[in-house]
Amino acid sequence: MDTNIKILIVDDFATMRKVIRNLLKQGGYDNIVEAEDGVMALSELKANKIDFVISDWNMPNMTGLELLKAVRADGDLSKTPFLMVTAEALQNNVVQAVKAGVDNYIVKPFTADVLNEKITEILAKYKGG
Amino acid sequence: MAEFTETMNQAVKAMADREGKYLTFALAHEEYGIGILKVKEIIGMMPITTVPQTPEFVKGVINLRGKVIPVVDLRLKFGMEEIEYTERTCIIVVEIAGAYGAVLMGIVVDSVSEVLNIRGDDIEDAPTFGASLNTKYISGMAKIEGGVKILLDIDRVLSETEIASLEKVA
Amino acid sequence: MKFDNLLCVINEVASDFLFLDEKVIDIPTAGKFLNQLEKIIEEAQAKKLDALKRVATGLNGILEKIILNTIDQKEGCNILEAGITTMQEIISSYENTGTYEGNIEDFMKSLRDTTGIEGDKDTVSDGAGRLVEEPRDIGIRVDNNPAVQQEDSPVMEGRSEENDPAQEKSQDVEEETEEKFEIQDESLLKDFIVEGLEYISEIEVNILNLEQSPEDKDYINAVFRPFHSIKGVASFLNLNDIRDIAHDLENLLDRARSGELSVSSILIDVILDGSDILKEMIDSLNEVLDGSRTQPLKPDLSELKSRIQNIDTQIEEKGEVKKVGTILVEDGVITEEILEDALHTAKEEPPKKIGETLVKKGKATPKQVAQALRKQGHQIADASTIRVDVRKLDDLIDMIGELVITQAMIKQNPSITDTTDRKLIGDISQLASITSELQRTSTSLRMIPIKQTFQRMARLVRDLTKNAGKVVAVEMEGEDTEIDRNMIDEIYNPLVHMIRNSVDHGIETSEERVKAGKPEKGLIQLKAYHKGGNIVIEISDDGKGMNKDKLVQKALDKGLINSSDGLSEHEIYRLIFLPGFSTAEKVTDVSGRGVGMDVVKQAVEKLRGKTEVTSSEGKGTTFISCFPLTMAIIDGMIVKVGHEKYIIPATAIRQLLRPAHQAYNNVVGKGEMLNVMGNLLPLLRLHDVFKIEPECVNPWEALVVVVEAENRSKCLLVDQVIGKEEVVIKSLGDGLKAIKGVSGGAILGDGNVGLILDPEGLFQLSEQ
Repeated sequence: MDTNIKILIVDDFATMRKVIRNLLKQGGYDNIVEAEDGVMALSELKANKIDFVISDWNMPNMTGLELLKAVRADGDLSKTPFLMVTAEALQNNVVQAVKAGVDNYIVKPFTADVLNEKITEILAKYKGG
Repeated sequence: MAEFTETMNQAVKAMADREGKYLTFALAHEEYGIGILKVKEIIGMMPITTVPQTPEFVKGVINLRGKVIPVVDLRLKFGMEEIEYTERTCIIVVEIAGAYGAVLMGIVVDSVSEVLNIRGDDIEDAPTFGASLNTKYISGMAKIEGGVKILLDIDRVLSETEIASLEKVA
Repeated sequence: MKFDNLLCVINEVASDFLFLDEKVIDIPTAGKFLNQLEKIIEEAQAKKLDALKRVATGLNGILEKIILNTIDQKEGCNILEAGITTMQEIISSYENTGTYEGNIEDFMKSLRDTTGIEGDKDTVSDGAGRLVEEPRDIGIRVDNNPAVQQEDSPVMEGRSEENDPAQEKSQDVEEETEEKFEIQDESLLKDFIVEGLEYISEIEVNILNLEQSPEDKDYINAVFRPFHSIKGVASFLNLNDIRDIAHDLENLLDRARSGELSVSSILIDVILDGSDILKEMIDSLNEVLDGSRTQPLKPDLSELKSRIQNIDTQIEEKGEVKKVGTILVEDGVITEEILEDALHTAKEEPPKKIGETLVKKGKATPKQVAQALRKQGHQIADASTIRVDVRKLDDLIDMIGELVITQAMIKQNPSITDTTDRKLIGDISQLASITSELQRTSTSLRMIPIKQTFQRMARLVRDLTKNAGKVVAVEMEGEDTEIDRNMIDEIYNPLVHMIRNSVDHGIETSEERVKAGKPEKGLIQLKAYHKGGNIVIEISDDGKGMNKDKLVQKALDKGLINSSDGLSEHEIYRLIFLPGFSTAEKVTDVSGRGVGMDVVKQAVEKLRGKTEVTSSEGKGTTFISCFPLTMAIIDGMIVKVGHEKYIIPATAIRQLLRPAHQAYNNVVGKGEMLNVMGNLLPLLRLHDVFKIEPECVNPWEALVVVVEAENRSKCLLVDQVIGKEEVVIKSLGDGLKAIKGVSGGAILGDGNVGLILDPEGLFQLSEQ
């Protein structure tokens, strides 16, 4: 398990980003960048090699869904692992996300273990095929 | 050389800026001009309501189709002798730049002449001495048909600090 | 041929399914299937392949459940397999024979049985498709204490409330972890408090915006998001009460967003109150941090919760338009029995309207019915509003102002006044009254209720009292009273000052109040109503009131008055409006340094308003301010001095008279005075102040207008009084704004400009 992967956290609430950062740390993931909305996330993605994206859904300027679509549409970025954070599994949101190509979703509040598990799962998928 | 060209360019530009159509009018035996873009309309003399506590050259206010606008007597503003208004006396309504946007004001002149198209090369800078008028009001001197028209920078003439100040113009 | 596409996609699905690893459908795969099914459904719809559509839709539902983990993977896969096979059957049948004779009912039944999905409905919800079962499959109550692992199984179990032991257990765990988490996540909590409070202020601002524009989805979103975010982090930090309230409020907003709930003032109030409570709760976390509390604030949420629940019913009640019959009964025109009877009759004969029937029976006059209908019309009208660009509105009102003037000019034109043409006179008269009506209606377009201002003030009181250790309740009355929207911002400042005064100097601390036998909570009342052509705003407090002797003493000390002789009670209270006056013993940062009520008075008068104060020591103080309903028009008395005409605001005029010769006095040291009804008032010669040649110099040959400003009256000497007129106020322009004694200009009926006099400025001029 490569815990040195670069993870991008996208959420407009700074405290939430911190929460996720802390949980990631517990799983050994230390290489973290943050973005406070989809627009900044995209520029971060284009500028640096990001190995994993964890994004909130409800954000001003560009929603998580729009970010996901942009990522999947971009030739260079389309294969970036993407995990969506949702407050409660709003059926509509999740289904839309899945159709748009999200790798998985996670429901707030979650523990470090759960987060870890999901990340591992997703990465395995990418490694395998 | 580069400096010289620069100055030349500026001068050319300045000339070009002043070029254009002007409304000319008479004031105490002299002819003046205001850029036509500043002129909104010309009306005959009408009753002016005096407003207390204003400088002498502020004659008062008038009703311009429902709008109340202040009127300035240019003779008094330029320190010339005041005369009685005749049937040729007019009020030129101009639009100048105020602190919060465009402002309408009226100026009383002896008579209005005509609209002239003045070319850039016919305009010279105001003389630095000997002019009867404060040179900051003059944007240039135009040589037309053997006479000279004094082109006014009407924004400067009617600027608020001028109007609001209570100093009398000597 | 025409089924090529479908064939292709369905085969794709089939093969993808075949190649699935261990019959486990992960999210990306589910996504792919969903997209494929979407295509299938579309095509099936277009080609009218009903059976195919139903099956595909059913599979769509299955996949969604798989994604949301509400169905066992194995079961889901099985149904999926069956469904795919069925689809293949259907499509090859069409391909070969052009029809499908088979039966999908078995499949549909098994679908229903296992999952409750009706293949006929489109289960991809396009509304607020919220899950009924909360799939807290893994993300159940956060315990940062990893030792306590809760239900981890993939088959989720919701937060079952019937499961008492589990609940108790989690409660214990919560308390444990609360103490623990303080230590672990202090910085996180600090961040949450700071950001949370920021979000709350955002909510407050945007809620007010939303109130003004209830249709604006952007504002709804702007209010929704902060609640959502707060909820998110609160759930991680075990702040369950905060999370719950945020969740409930967020729900309301979500429903408003989807159009299910309308943005009514009830909703706004609930949201505002809810955000206040949230603020308090988040604030209290500071105290948990510094140890003065063990738990965050647990306020009584029952009222708020019931309001949230009842929001549907409340709104419905409001929305009901009353029937004409009901209105008539309410107004006492008819009794219930008569109504019953009439309703009966109305149904029997060729169905008539209730109003007609009542009139026919002689139970109500046509006029009463018409009035009831109009009332009903108002109710219906209440429900429909439109949005208009404010600038257009202002332009419209300006133009109507011009219309009024022009019409007045026509009316006064000699050709018209001299005419004997009766029709012309009648028509002009008609024109005048229509214009008048038009003007009244147009100015009313700019009126908005003062509620928003009152709410801001209530908010302010809350903030002020917190810092001062006082407890104050705010009551409002007449918050629907309307005021010109251009004025609403201007009056806020003076009113705020008065409120600050009440809170700082009026309301005592809780201890003082209890000692004085008053209820612990102080009360500030905000009242607004229309009177005459004005809006009156009262601010009263039940604090300690003002001590007359102290006031007088202070004024004497500061040299503001020479003696207290002859000062009525009224005038004593008015002393606080004198410049330089302030009875504050200490300078509080809230009220500012000795910025006294004189500033307030000036601000009020700038808006052509007036303000008064009355007080009762020990009981309280009341500020009464009145403002003209609109800034643009003034009732004026036109007077002539020499050749010039002036307009005196009617509100300032006390009296009009021609004084007798004996009334004139010249008092040494005080100047010219006139005896008006027993009072000696100073004479102000307008022609002197304005340097004009008057017609008459002697007061007993001219006319005198007794005018009041501030707290004194003077007699203005004029040559003639032309008459009263409603005039449209025109500004004299920036250059001439600061002329003392003149507050503006107006176009008179004869086309000339008349200067509008400002009594206070005049008085000051004459005193120089």
